Order: sequence, then structure tokens, then C-alpha cells
Amino acid sequence: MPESGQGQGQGQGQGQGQGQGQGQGQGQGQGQGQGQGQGQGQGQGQGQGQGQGQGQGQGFAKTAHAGSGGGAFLTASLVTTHDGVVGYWDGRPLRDPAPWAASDTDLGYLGGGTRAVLLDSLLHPDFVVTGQDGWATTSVRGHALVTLHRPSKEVFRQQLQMVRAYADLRSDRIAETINQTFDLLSYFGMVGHLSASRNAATLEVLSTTLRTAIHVEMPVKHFCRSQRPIDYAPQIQPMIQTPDHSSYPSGHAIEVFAAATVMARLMTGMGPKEALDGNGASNQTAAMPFRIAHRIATNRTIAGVHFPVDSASGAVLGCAIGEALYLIATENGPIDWPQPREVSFQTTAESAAPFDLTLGWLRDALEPDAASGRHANAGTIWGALWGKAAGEWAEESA
Amino acid sequence: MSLTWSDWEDDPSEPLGHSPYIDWLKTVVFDGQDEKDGLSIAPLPVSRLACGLEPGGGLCGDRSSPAPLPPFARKPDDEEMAEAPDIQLTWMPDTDCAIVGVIDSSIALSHARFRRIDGGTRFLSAWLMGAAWRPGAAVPFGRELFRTELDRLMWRANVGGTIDEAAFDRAAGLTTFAHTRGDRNLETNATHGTHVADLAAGFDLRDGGQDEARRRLPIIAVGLPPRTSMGANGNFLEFFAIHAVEYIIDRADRIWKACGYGPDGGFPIVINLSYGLKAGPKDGHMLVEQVIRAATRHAEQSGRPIRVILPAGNDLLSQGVAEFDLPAKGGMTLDWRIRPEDHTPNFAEIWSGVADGAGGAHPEHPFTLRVAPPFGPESPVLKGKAGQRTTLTDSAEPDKPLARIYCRKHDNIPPTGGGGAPWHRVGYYICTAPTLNEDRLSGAPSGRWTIEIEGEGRACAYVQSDQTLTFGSETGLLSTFDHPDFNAVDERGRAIDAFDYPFDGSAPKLTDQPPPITRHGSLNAIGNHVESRVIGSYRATDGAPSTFSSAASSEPVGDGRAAPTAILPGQDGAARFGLLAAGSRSGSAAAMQGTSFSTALATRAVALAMLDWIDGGKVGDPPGTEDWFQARATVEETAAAWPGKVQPAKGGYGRMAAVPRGRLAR
Repeated sequence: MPESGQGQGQGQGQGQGQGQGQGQGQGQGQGQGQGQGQGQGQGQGQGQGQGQGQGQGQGFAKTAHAGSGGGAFLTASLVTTHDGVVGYWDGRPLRDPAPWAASDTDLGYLGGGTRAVLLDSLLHPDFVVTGQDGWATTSVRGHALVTLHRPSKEVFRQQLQMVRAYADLRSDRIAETINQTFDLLSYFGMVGHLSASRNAATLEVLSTTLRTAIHVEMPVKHFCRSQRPIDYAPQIQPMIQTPDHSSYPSGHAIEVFAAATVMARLMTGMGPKEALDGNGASNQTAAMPFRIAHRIATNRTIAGVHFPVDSASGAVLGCAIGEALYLIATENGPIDWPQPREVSFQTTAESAAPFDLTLGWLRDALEPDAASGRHANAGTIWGALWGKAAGEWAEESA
Repeated sequence: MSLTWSDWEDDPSEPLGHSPYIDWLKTVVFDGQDEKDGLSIAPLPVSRLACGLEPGGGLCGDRSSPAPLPPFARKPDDEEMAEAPDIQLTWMPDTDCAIVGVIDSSIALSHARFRRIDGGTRFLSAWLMGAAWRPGAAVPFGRELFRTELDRLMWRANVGGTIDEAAFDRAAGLTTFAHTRGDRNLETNATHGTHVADLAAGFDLRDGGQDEARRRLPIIAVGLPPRTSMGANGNFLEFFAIHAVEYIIDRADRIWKACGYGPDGGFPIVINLSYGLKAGPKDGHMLVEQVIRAATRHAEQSGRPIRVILPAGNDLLSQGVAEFDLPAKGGMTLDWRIRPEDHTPNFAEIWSGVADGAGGAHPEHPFTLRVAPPFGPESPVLKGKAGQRTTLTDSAEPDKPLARIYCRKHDNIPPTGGGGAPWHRVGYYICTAPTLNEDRLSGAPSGRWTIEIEGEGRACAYVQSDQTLTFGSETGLLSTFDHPDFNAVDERGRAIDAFDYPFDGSAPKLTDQPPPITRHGSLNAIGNHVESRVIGSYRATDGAPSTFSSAASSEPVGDGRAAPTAILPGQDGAARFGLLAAGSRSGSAAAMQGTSFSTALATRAVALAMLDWIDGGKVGDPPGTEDWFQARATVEETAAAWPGKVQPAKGGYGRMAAVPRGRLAR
């Protein structure tokens, strides 16, 4: 099947590349940005050999040949080689191929890019966003999860003070902010080893989580469309380009808190509220992805492209998405969906500090966690993948 | 543009007791107002120590002095300061403790390196000068927290089994996000104060071998206001530092009494003040130096030792010192290079030598000055009297002075009188406005200003400190002296130090330049008195004194120091600069370089030695005197057998090793 690339792509030039931006050319790449091009590696993550690696990003990617990327020159040489070696063949089969997959849940025969497309096609229809100018409701299988209400302009004006305050930290966060415009998984990859060779199923589940969050966030942003900090004052001068879509909610926050929720579930079985409460070793493990998510979300305010309320609403929605993915994966009968959550922000009193996102606030703002200890449903494609991922974090019994 | 210098006129700020720094800041930054852009320069109460009184409750009567601090950190006029603090300690220090006082900025009070094994804090109390004031406070501005409150805040900030240190910092007032002028430096990866405090008194909780030291070295912290309050030029360091010294001594003594250990005696105190100024009279008699002198002498008498440890300064290479004998004829011209796009004022001080007697109210400066901005006009030959000033203005904007020269008297007479035979000196303070205002519409001339000094005797000229107001910013640029005879680098391109460092062990040669611009005389302006210990840095890889480490004057004036006390490691790794110690958050580490950090190592050494002195029954001189440093340095120089030698002007009594006990493990 011909595949063209979009989303993250391959590196520039020949040889080993770490290409950013428009990736053209060949060679081993770990390319981010709009990738066209060939070469090993697809999308984000470890591209090595024949484009192993989980392509994040939409659409398709060019498949590499066994020894190099594709292209007209290689194809021409394959044609001439074919003419030179096949000889006479009347079209009779010589082999009887075995089935590719033992069952519907066995996706091992597919490359990462194709699996991603398949998973998205199966999962995304479950998540629907409805709304109107000023509010957006995210529902899963018809059950409303979170409704976000756009705050008044007065709230954003008050919030601007926080954007000013956070701006003092810019020089401290330059490297993080730039990297986090295109790479979030590397930060979660600090909490647990994530690669094509280790905990690969978890990496795939997390990539899928991020893509699900992206699928939800654009219509939510559109219905809540709110101006960015730069629109309120010329002194903001963001340190990265302001995106064209709504400030509220923060897409980064939705994505990273969804990923944190899923990672905590996979590693410890705990839900977000439990992860952020309590003192045990498992709590500390489960809380770490949330601390990373909080820092990534805060960096967006420091950069001058978001308000704290954007990150807060995104965090609530992200956690709900993460929990929903957990419930779908562990579906074994009718799902006990959480109650719908409304998120809105009011102005604060003159003398009080404007709202700022803390993990303590988030812990209290969430609906009760779904039950822990639910088993993945190995009979569904998503459930089978989730179960495999959860199994990657088994510990040795004491 | 038509620039003119006014005639000398009476300086209205002198009878008010306002330093030229206060007056100039108010003129060019505050536009003559008390408040601008979220910062207020309204008067704040002066410390008792500054009036020559002993530490104690209350302040210096009604005496106050303008000092910049945001409105939220000030006591409202209709509130009263409490007479005595409400001391609340979850755990009382034992009698065998010595207190480490840390005066610095952005100290992470909940950091694990400053905790007890039970998770509580080792800080007895903390005064956060830049935090929001609370009714009932026993501090004249900022916020005070005692151990109980710190522990409670840590408990409340517990999320998922770990202390959310960012949330703790906000609750305690260590960071302030709600106000533009609030301090937020603790949210960056590493801060000066946390690094210094860790080097001075930090211990690892997992290290059982340090349990005793950890228990016996509680800490009292003073968080200095952020630079937006301290002033880009360190203008107000003296004001806040004197308050800080008083606070530590006062609280230490109150806690001793509150623990029921009796009306006499007290905890030995080792105070780390890793701050400095580049310009000052450097004769041992700045107000803060007199205060420290009085406090440490008083402490000797009450049998409870106080040691103050200061940095030598990092300014050897800053081209901000000119100490020279004036030629018989013609005078000496110094270039003063002021950068364009400099958003902060610049200051240079020109000091006369010592003259006998108190000098009367308005002595005349013995030197004449001629100051010219780049492209002129030259000023007339100026000779001022203390209490006078002359101002440079542009006729197109007469309300915006571009520069001013103040003339002020300085003497060796302590605040309460007494002291030795009186003498006095006269100083010129040359102040320029920012070369580019924030609105970028105007500014003082930038480039090569010239200062021509004529007269008899020895002149001492210094460029004042100049730092940027916000962390990580580059908008406050340091000005420098220059002269045709001066070379910053040698023919190999290496920065020229005061002395070389031959590896064959032969005596280091003087490499400092011929006058006027010298590397000698770069010693910290608040560290020229002998009653404190003044600490420089050396490289612990090869023993070479750090090139940045300041050197004392070759001809100290008045009671000024001829050398720092000693030098300690400022760099101890072969693959990185600086010393490794705590970053802002528990578990993090940062490498920082400077005499501030060598100073903290000295504090650590003295504090640990205090415990030994206590264990020995408090017999003999308590550690941390000049003699003690001399003895230690001598022993450790011999033991280390460094390839090269150091000269006293940079190295004092020599190279002391860092005490490894309890330091952050690599």
C-alpha cells in the first residue's frame, strides 16, 4: 500500500540525521516535524533498521525496503534485477503461506505506523466532542466525561499576572520548552524505560494515548476558542511561536496528563487521585509522571503561550481521557463510567492571588478514580495491547 | 544636546543621612517619587545595630532610611510590629549546639539537605525579607517563620509521599507569584542561597555518620530581598545585611533563653554572609563593618562567640579598581567605560587618603576632579566639600539629570562614638543615569567617560557592583576603568592575575599592572575589617588561586585588610567549574563557582570545629579566629604539598582544605 508521510518524519540529508522541521532525504533519521522522505525510521521514536519505531503523527509513512529507503532509482534497479533473475515462470504458486495473525488481537505482523492507524480507527470513534461557542463536552461512548467552560475575559486578564510572574523563569526552561514543542514522550521515558526493545507495548499505549488526546483537543479548543496571552499585552513576547488554536484548554496539558494517567495505571494500577495522595512506594512511582506532566504544562505558561487555567482545564480533561482509555481496555461487561465533571473558572478577589495549577488542586478537582485492579480484556485489540503493557511493569514478588 | 555641569551646591540628601546611592536611585529610577512600577523606596526602620545599640527587641527608635522593598513586604502604617517574636519550635536545640546563620537569597527551606531524620526542618527560624508581611509579626518588614510553622507547611505540602517543594515555597512566602516584584528564583534549577546554605550546613539524611553533626548544627536563615529590592548596584546591601546580622544574634539568644538555658551564655554562632560590594572606602569602617565589629566584640565579652565569614570577592579581573599615588604634576586620567544599552545606573567612588581628626562637618576633598562624558563637555575643574553635589544635565531635558557627583565624608567613628583616634576621608561618588532607559527614548551618554584626578597623595578609585535586576537577564552591564597602560590579557591571551603561579614552587612574581588600574585592592568593600574572616578561592586540582578571587590592596588605608584570611577550594573537580552542592530542589545538584561558595566551606569548617570546642569543655579560644585559620592553613598547606605557592594579598594565610564531612556525594 503506498504510504505518504505526514506528522513526524525523517531527518535531513544522508547518513545519521536528527532532523527537525521538514525532513527530506534519506539516512537513518530520528526526524520530527513534517516528514516526507524515506530512509529508516519513521516518525518519532527510535527509527532504526527498517523503520521500526512507533510513528506518532497522522497519516502514513513511506515504508523502507530491506536495505535502504525506497525511491525511483531503487525501483528501477529492482525492475532490471527482476528481469535478470526470474526467468520463465508460468504463475504457479510455489509456497503456501501461513496466516499472519493467530487472532484479531495479534497485531505483531504490522509495523508501528500501520498499527497506529488501526488503533486510532478503533478508538477515536468512541470519543466525541460536542459544544458551542463557549463550552465543549467530551463524551466517551455517549457518556459525558468533562465539560469545559470558557472563562470570561476578566479571568484571563487576572491570569495575565501569572504569565508575567512565570516569565521570570524563561531562561531556566529554554531547552525544555523548545524540545517539548515536539517531543513529550522522552520526558515520560525518564520515569520508566520506553523503547522499541523494552516496554515497547507501554510506549505504544502512550503514543496512542497522546494521539487520542490530540483527536479530542482540537474540537474542544474550537468550541472554547480563547485568545492567547500575546493577544492581551505586547509585553508578553512569547519565547516560542504562539500556535493558531485556542489558548483554553492547553493541548499540551491534555496530552501529558492523559499520558501520566495511563502510565500510572500501567506501572502501579493506581488512578490519578490515589497517585497524588498517600505515601507508599507505589504512590511515589505513580505520582512521578504527574509531576512531569505538571512541569511540562507549566513550561507553556513560562513560555508565554498559555494561562494557568488553560493547563488546569486540560489536566482535568486529560486525566478523564486517560481513565476512559483504562476503562475501555479493561472492559468486561457494562462500564461504570464516572460522573460528568464541569470545569469553569471565576475571577478571584482583588486581594487574592490569581488561580495557579498545583497537583493538589488537580487531585481535588477530579472525579473519584475508576476501580483499580481491573483486568485487561485480552479479547479486544486495545485490551490485549493494554494487558501486554501492564505486564511489562510486573515486579518480582518480595 | 547641550550638556552642562552645575556649580557645586548643597546636597539636600546629605543632612537627611541618605547615601548618594539612595538619592541617585530615587532621582533617576524613581523619578523623585517614593513608589514606581510596583516598588516602593519609602523609608524602612533601621536596625538597632546601625544605631550602635545591642540586638534586642524593638528597633532603633524612630530612625528609618529609604530602602526599596515592594509594598506587600512592608508593614502597613496602621499596624504595629510585635515587641517580641512568638517562638514556636517543634524541637528545641540542645545546649551542645552551635547555630549556623545563613544570610543569602532564595534559600530552599524545605530542602532535604536541611532536614532532620524525622523529616522536620533544621531551621530554627527564617526571616524572609521580601515576603509579604503579616499582622503580629516581630520583624519590621518581610515575614518570619519559626520551626513549627515550617514543619507544618512541609507536612501540608506532602503530595504522594513527597514534599511538593514548589507548593511549600509558595505557602511559606519564599516565592511570590501574585506580585510582579515577588521573588521567584527558587523555581529555577539552582540558587545562590541554597547552594551556599548546603555547603555551609547541609547534610545527607541517609548518612548515619552525620547524625550528631546534623542535630547539633541548627540553622537560622535570613532571606535577603531579591535584586529588584537590593538594587542593581548592591546599594542597599548594607541596610538589609545589618538587619540580618542583628536578627540572627537576637533570635539565637532568645531561643537560648526560651529553652530555659539561663539568662547568661548562648549558642555559639557562625554567620555566613556571602555578599559583597565592589566599591567603598575599604578601610574597615563601613557601617556594616562597624556593626560586625561591635557585635563580635560584645559576643567575646558575653562568652558566647560569634564568627562572621565573608567572601573576598570575585572581582580581581573586573577592571574596577585604580589605586595609585597621584603624580606631582598633571594629575591622572582614568577612562571609565560605560556600556550602551545599560538599563541600570553606574557608580564610581574616588577616595582620598586618611586625614587626622574628625574633620568637621564638611571637609573639603583634597583632590580636584574633571569629569567628561564621551564627546564632552569636560567639566570645569571641580573641588567639592562633603555635603555638596554637582549635576550634569542636558539643556533639552533639564529635569532628567544625566550624571551627578556627590561629595561625602567618611570616618572611623562608630555609631555610638568611642573607638580609636579619629580620622576621616572624603569621597567623590560619580553617578551616571542608565545609558538607555527602559522606554528606550533617552539615556546618559555611553562610551569612554574620563575622570581626571589631581592633587597630592594616594587615590583609591572603585567601580561599584552592577548586576541585572532579574535572574538570567543581561540588561545591567558592568562598567570598567581603562587606561593605555592597562592590559587585561598577556601575550598568550590569558587573563593576567595579580601574581603568577610557577609550578616549580618558586616565589610567585607580581604580575599586577603598573598603576593606575590594579588588581590589588579588589577585595570586597564590606570585608576589609579584621574582625570577620574573609575567604578567597583556589583551584583544588592544582592549588592555583582562582583568577577571579580578589586581592587586598597593596597599601591598605586606615584599618583595611592587607590580605584575606585564607583561601578555600572554589573549584574541586577536574571536569567542571565550581563546587558541587544542592540545587533548588531536593535531590538535585549544581556546580557553582565563586568566593561565596568557598566562604560557605569556611563556615562549615568553623561550625564543625565549634562542636569540637564545645565537647572539649569550651576551653581555650573558640575556633574561627584569624589565628585559628592561620594554624589550619599552615598545617593543610604542608599536607597538601601543592606545586606552587600563593602570596598573602590573594591567599591570606594560605590554602585550607575543604572539610569533606557531610558534603554532597559525587
